[in-house]
Amino acid sequence: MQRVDEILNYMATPALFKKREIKVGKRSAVVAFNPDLTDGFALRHIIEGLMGCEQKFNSLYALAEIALLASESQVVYSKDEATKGILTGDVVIVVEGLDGYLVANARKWDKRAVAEPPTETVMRGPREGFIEDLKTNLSLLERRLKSPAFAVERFKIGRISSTDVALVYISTVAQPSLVEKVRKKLKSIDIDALVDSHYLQPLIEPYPRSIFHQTGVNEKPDVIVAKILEGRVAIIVDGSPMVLTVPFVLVEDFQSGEDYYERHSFASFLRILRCFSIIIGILLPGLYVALQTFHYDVIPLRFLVTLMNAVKDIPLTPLPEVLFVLLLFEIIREASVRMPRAVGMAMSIVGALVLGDTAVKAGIISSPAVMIIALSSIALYTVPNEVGTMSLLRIIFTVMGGLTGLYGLMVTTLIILHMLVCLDSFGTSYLAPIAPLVPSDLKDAITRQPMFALKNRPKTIPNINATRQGDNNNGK
Amino acid sequence: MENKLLSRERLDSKQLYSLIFIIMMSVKMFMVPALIIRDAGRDGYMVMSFYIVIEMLALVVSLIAIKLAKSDICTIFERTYGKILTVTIFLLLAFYYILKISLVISEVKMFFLFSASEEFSWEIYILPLLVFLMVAAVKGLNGIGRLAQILLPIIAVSIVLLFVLIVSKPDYTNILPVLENGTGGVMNGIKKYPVWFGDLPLLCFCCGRVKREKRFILKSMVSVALSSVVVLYFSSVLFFVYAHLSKMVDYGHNISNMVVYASGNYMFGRFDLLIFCVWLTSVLVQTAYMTCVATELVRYVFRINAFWAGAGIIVALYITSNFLFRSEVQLYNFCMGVPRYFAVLSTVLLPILTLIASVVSKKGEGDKGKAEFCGQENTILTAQGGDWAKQGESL
Amino acid sequence: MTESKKIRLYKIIAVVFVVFVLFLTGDGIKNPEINHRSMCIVMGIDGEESGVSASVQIIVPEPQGQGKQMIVTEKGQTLSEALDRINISIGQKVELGHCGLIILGEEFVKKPIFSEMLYLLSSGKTSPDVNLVVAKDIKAKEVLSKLNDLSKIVSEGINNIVAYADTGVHITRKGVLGFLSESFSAGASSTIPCMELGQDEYAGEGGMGAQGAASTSGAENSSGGSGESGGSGSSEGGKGEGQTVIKSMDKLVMFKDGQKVGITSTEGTRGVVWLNKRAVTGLILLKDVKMADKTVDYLSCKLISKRVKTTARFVDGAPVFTVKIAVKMSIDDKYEIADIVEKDEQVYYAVKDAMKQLIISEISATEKEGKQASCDLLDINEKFNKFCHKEFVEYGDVLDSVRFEYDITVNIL
Repeated sequence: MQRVDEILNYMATPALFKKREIKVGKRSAVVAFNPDLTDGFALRHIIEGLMGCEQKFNSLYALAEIALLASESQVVYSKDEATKGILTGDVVIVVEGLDGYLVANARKWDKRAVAEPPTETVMRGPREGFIEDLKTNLSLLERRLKSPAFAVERFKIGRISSTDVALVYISTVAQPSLVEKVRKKLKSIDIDALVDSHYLQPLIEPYPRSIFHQTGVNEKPDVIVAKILEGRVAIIVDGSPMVLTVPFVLVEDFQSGEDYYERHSFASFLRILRCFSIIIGILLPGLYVALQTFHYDVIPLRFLVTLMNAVKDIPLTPLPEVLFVLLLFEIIREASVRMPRAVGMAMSIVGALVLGDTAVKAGIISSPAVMIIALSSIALYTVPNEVGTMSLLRIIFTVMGGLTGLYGLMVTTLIILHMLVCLDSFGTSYLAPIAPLVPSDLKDAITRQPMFALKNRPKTIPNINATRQGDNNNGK
Repeated sequence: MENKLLSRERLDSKQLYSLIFIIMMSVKMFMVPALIIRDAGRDGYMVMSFYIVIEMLALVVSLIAIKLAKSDICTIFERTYGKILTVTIFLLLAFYYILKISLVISEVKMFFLFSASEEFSWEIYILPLLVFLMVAAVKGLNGIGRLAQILLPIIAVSIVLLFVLIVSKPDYTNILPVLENGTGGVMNGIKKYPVWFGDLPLLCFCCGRVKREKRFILKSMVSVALSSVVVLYFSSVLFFVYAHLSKMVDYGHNISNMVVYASGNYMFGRFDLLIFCVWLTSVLVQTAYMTCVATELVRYVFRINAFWAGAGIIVALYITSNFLFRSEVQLYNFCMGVPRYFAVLSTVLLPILTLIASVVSKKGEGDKGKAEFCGQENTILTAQGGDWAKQGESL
Repeated sequence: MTESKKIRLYKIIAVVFVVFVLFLTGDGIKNPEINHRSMCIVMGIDGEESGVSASVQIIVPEPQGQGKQMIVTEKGQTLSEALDRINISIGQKVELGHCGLIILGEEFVKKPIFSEMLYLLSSGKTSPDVNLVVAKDIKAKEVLSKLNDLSKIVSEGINNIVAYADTGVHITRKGVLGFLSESFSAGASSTIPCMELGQDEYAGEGGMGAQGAASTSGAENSSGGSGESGGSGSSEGGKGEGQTVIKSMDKLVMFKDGQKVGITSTEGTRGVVWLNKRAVTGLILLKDVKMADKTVDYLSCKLISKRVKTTARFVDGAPVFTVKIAVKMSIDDKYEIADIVEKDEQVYYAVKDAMKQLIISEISATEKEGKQASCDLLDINEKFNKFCHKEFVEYGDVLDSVRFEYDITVNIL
């Protein structure tokens, strides 16, 4: 049929696609599909349904109702939509004498099983994580939010990739202006391909060149559900297990899903520990260099003597030494992520023992420097989402501390803090609820109050329904 | 009820209280006690008290002006006093504030030269500080307000730590005898150091830019009272500790030196320096606010945008700090000369003029809709409808 | 300005800034690293015919962690010149930030020492509270070299000059700021602890070694005496015959107008310590305590707390100095009174009386010694200047004519 030929000939490799001519009642029909993306069983059911149709029909809608009982289907009238359907793995049916194209879902993509995400392991709580399939990801959310207010808006972004993107929110909670803003941003994206959700980040963030990310990223459905229940919107990209949420505040990265599955006191302790760890992780190398170079009298005498003994024959001054050790650590870290598993063990030994231990024994670097950088690196990993940013900040602080001492550390801290307070994510201040201070939101910021105390949604995230609990939970 | 999005160009009340606390305390507690003690000796607390009272009165007037003002200070001044007079006043104020910022920067330099490191090239070291001031000035009031808000608890902790280290060591009876050498020293102190005081009237530049809550004047006065107590205590301790050696106190001597003396045990290292550096961020926040004000004044006077106004201020600061005055002593001596009259005028007249302008502009037609800040219209992402003054908890 | 122009401008500024800072580091950064600095932990100042000589004990780092110390001495017209010469002679800058003790030689304190002390205070090189000690009959330089022998090496702890072990000794520590404050007060008098070195009488039997619990600044963990600093009767070196030890540190050198005018006795020193509000713990040795039908030759009591209040007033034109001391103590040598415990009240009254008498006698001894040397040991003039300023200005120096009144309360736990 000509209409089908037009679609197939438009493809770069028409031979990739197949068509089958069948009889539907008294009319001829052609079924076109991509055998690589189409499920054979579903295709058979569709063809059997069509060929077994004995009732009269005068439109594709009627045909779909009669013959395609179990399949999702829709009628489209443009060649582009039909083309997109075939490219997605749908089956396109063209019936002689009827306008339009009947597109039936028969997709079968290989996808991995829902498993615990490698970036967020928990000791308690659910262990499901998102995968690359949008449908499965949506189902993980829909299972947890069985509400008519759960809204999903679908988009296709990417001139070539036509990637499915879903905008997810709760219509009775999320502020309409926020949803509209995000919707507009998504619709305005003009890009060749959207390979992963991280491609979207710089395209929707208000300050894409900032080293601080302004969108939340998470791989766990329970966390995403909790976030959209607070008024955020989530963006799921087909092909990516990482789901974005907006608006984003910095304090989110210091929270973990597991905090809500622990006692509130321990959860509060963990959050404070993370904050403390980040501060140590960023400032410790810079402080070490600054004190050694400029402010030796801050160091207690006994420690100073130990330090002097340790650095006596080291050829490098403190700043280059620490930068060198930092560089070593970053190389080891990057290599351990990239290297094949087969050589992983051996290279780890080389990295740790040879570069660390032997370099110290050879007198190239000192053991206090190695210890400081090791402690700093480990501390940074208490907040994995911020490792990249904090590593960069660590280098900046080290350089400033080494060049200008405590004065430089102080000024750099102020510059970074000022950048943070001026940053915002879709109208929400980045450092909220600390600056600007929103006292009611502090219940679930750095510390966490018990669940019954979190009666209202955080004011920091715009929402249209502030109450999320009744008044009499646990009699409080 | 729909929650509000945050405003970008305003201070909310809590940020104002934080700023008040910091502005009242920081520069006054930094180096000026070491100067006052050389004139007034142990009676230096009288000089501090005098200035504190004057500033508190000026603050009350400024806060009333803020409460009454419907527009920013440039608009209300222009309406009341006319453009030429407004430009003249603002130009003079801009020069004065540039001098004052240079003074504070030189004190920071002195502190680090004296207490921390002996040799560094300030021509290079000042650059990061100028970058910070530029960014703070260009980004505007909201950024500084939030910075003050986030730093306040940390500064408060450092004050408490410094207090704990110092409290049991000094001999508080050194306050006696009162006015041992007569009132000459005290009067000298009052006459020479106005430039180091008179910071609170700078808040007049927040007119039309504050989301006020209930009883914000009272709460502001609580903030300034707490701050005054801190200033008075720490500076008085310096006066008591060095009561007999007032002439020997050098510019670098300040609270930090006193903490070293009080903490006593050299075995633990000079951890007081770390605590003091945390406290020192308050001085830089105040400097950032002054730079922001100076930038807005320059922007208004020369009708340029914030970036170029800020750049101009920074260049002026660089030249003043490194080339205009050969040494800090020269700068201090200059500040004890003619500029002190400007200081008096700025401390006393600015709030009064602002109050008059607020009253006059309130009686006339008030501004509705968009608010201007010294000539530039800003779009405001704010609550939908409603008067901010009537809102309860603000964001 | 468009976004891209702004970004380009920021990039240019960042590159210029980095180049500027990194390539001007030769001018920008002159600070040496820590192992190119010499850390001075003890300093000594001696007087010379013209000028002074400064000796510093500095730590020399060793890679194996066993640091050693070195003593360097140089002369100069002023202290700053002498210190500068030391820098030149060792080729490194001597850092005084961790200097905890300054020893003043005997000759040095015979003339006014204001200029050196004021230099130390105003230069900011040392802490304002760095401890001062006067070496009796010996040069500071010799003290440093002798004590270097008996002290432990730096890897086990700081070279402690004062080993605080004995009982019944009190001292008041004095820092530079404290010394100068008192010297410029109305009394124009001050005191500095006096240290006497001698030979070890028990050499060869193995002593404890001079493991000072703390230097003069770390008196909080010291036991014995109500003073703050470590002062010991005899701290043993125990390394061999003729070993130098600190023979005593229970006297004070009296200064008037910055110049030495005498040395107090042990008793006189304790009188000063009684009025020191910070010296609140220590061991007191009572002698010849008569209780019931028994006389105890020596009874050790432990001071638990002490409150001191002094009042200066003029009564009928005459200066009266009231000393009010409230003491809480416990009897350490309980075995001495074990057999007379059933007469508790008599025991306690006896001990209380003995204590009161001791306090009064020691303060009186201090008063007497001060008057003899014209040194206001108890800061009496300053008290009158503060609390009765007008009358004091008319009256003048009250030291010779002041009358003491005592109100001593002793509580035994």
